[in-house]
Amino acid sequence: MIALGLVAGMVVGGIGSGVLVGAMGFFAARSAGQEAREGWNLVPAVVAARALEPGEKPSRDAFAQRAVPEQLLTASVVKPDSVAYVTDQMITVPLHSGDLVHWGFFSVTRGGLELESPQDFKIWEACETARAASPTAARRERTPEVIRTRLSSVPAGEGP
Amino acid sequence: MKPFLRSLLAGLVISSALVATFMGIGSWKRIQREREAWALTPVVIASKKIAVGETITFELLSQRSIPAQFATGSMVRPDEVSTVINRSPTVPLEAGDPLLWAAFADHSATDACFSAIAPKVRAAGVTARQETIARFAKRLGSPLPAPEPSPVPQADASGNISIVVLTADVPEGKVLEESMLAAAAYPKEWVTASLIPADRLRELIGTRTLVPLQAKDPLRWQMLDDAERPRRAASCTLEASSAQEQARDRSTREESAAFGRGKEAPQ
Repeated sequence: MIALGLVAGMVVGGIGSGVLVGAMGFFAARSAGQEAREGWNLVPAVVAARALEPGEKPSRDAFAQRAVPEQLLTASVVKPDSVAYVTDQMITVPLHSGDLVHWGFFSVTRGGLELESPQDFKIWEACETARAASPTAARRERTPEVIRTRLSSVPAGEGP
Repeated sequence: MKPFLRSLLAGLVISSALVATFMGIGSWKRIQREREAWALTPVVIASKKIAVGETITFELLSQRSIPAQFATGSMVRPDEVSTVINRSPTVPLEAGDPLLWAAFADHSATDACFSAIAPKVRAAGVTARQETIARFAKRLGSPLPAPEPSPVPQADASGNISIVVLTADVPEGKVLEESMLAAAAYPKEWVTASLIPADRLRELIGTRTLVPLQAKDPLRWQMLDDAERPRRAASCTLEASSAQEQARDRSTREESAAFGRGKEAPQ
C-alpha cells in the first residue's frame, strides 16, 4: 500500500511539475529571446551554408537564407531572390559557414585587370585552376584565418 | 494520516523536486544561450564606400556592435584593425559592410597570369574568327549570296496551302531527318514565298538549321542551309564564332598551364 502510494505520488508529481515547469521555462526563454532581439529588425539575406574555398563553383545547396539585422544588409549583400545569379559561379575568396555572401566575392574586376567580354572570365578561371594545380605557384589562401595570419605577419606595403 | 496518503505525498514532493530541478536547469541554459546569441559584439565596418585598391585608413572605418550570432570568424574585430590599415581590399565595400578578412584575399598570382595571357588568348580568338570568315568568303566568292526567292504555291479548293512544319523541337545547327518533318495546311493568306511547300519536303532532309526551332513551327528557307557546303551569312557567323571559341579555349588551356609551369606556351 505504501509502495503504491509512493509510485502514484511520483507519477502525478512528475507529470504535474513537468507540465508546469516546462511551460514556465518555455515562456521565460521566449520572453528572454524577444527581449534580447528588441530593436533588431531582421531581414532575409544569403549566407554560405558551409565553408567555401576560392576557386569553387558553389551549387545552390552551398547557400542558405538567413534572417540578419537590416544594418548588415547593404547593397553588397546578395538577396535571396538573386541567389541564382551567383549559383555555379566561381567564388574568389574563402568564406566561413554563415558568412554573408557579397556580389564582390564573384568579381575579378580590379585595378589593371579589366574583362573585355564575359568570355574573359574563363581565362581568370583557368589561371586560378592552374595556380591551384601548380606545386611552385603561391599557395592559395583557403580560409579567412590564412589571410589574417598573412596580414598579421607581413607589414603593410611589403606584400599583397 | 493514513500510510497511503503519506507515501503519496512523499512521492509527489520527491518527483516534483527532481523534475523541477532538471527542467529548471534546462530552461536556464536555454535562456542563457538565447542571451549569449544576442549579446552585442563589436566588429569593424566600412564607414564609407571603399573601392578596390583604395588604401584603408582609420577615417574609412568605424565600429559597430552586432549580435554575437552574426559575428563570424571572418569579420575583423576592433583589436585587429591595425592589421588592415594601409592595405587595399581586393573586393569593393559599401558603407556599413563589416570588414571581412576575405576582402584582403591575395589574387596577385592569378591576376598576373590573367594579365600575361589574356592578350594572347584574345588574339588567338580574333585570328581564328578572321581566318574562318576568309575561308568562307573564298569558298563562295564575295559578297556572300542572298537566299534565292521561291514562288508561292497554289492554294487547294478550300483555300489552304500545304507547307512543311517540324514534328519536334530542333536545336540550332541540327541536320534535319525525315522524321522531324511533316506537311500541314495553312490558310493561303498566311503563306509567303519564305515558307516551304510540302512537295519540296524531301529536299530538306540533310539540311542544317540556323536557328533553334520548336515542334509545329513552319519552316522557312532562310532558316536552313546546306549541311555540307553552307552558303548563308548566318552559317558563316556560326562557324566563325565556334572557331573563335575553340581557339580561345585551346589558347587559354595552353597559356595558363604554361604560366603555371613558369614558361611561355609554344606558339
